[in-house]
Amino acid sequence: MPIIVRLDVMLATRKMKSKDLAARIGISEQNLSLLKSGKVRGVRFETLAAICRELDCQPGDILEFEDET
Amino acid sequence: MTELGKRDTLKNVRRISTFLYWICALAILFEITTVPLVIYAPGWVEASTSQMTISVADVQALQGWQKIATLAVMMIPSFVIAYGIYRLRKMFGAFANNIIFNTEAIGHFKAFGIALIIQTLISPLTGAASSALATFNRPEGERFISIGLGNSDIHTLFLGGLIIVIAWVLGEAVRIEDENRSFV
Repeated sequence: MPIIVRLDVMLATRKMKSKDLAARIGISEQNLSLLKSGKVRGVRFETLAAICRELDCQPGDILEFEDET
Repeated sequence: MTELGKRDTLKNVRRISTFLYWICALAILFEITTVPLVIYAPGWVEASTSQMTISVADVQALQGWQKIATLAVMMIPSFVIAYGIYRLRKMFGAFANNIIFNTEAIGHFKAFGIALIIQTLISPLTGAASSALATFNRPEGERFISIGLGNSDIHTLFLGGLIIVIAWVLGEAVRIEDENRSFV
């Protein structure tokens, strides 16, 4: 998958635990863990907006495109 | 619908499914035992000959391999529909265990529809084969092949097709649900 999730980097930068973020945006820790490891097929705009709001960042800070070719 | 209402509906689904799970078990038993009982226990089970291509008396009068072979051929549609009901039973079992929107459960429903169609399509063939087997030893001119296809067969075919289409649509819905679940 050429889309890389940089959520762990953002969490470290903001010194926030996954558990806290999951509670604040209203998703399970398990789902947040799957998102962090890029093991999901997609992210809802609603979830992305909530993450950006809590981490005070832009979607581009969390998601990155890396061309595999 | 409120959360309480949803829980009640699910409870009812589980209760009715458990009931139908056991009804299916009885239906399987009925399908497998009816033909042998009609033939081997005369008088105990009264059979309607309207669905049979040969008379019960004719089959009862047969001896040896002819009787066994006729019975075996007559049993083929029963075994096919018994398998269909067995799959339907598995579906109700899954519903009773709260496994409702699941590919496997939908697969059982589809298998039942297919079994219904196969049973309806092979019934005239097995009917013809059993009539041929039953009259095999008769003198020339008295042997016959009887093929029966009724209005109810057309209805059953339609119902089987309908079940397959519904199962197909439900399968698509399950796929979409799976896709939605993989989104966070």
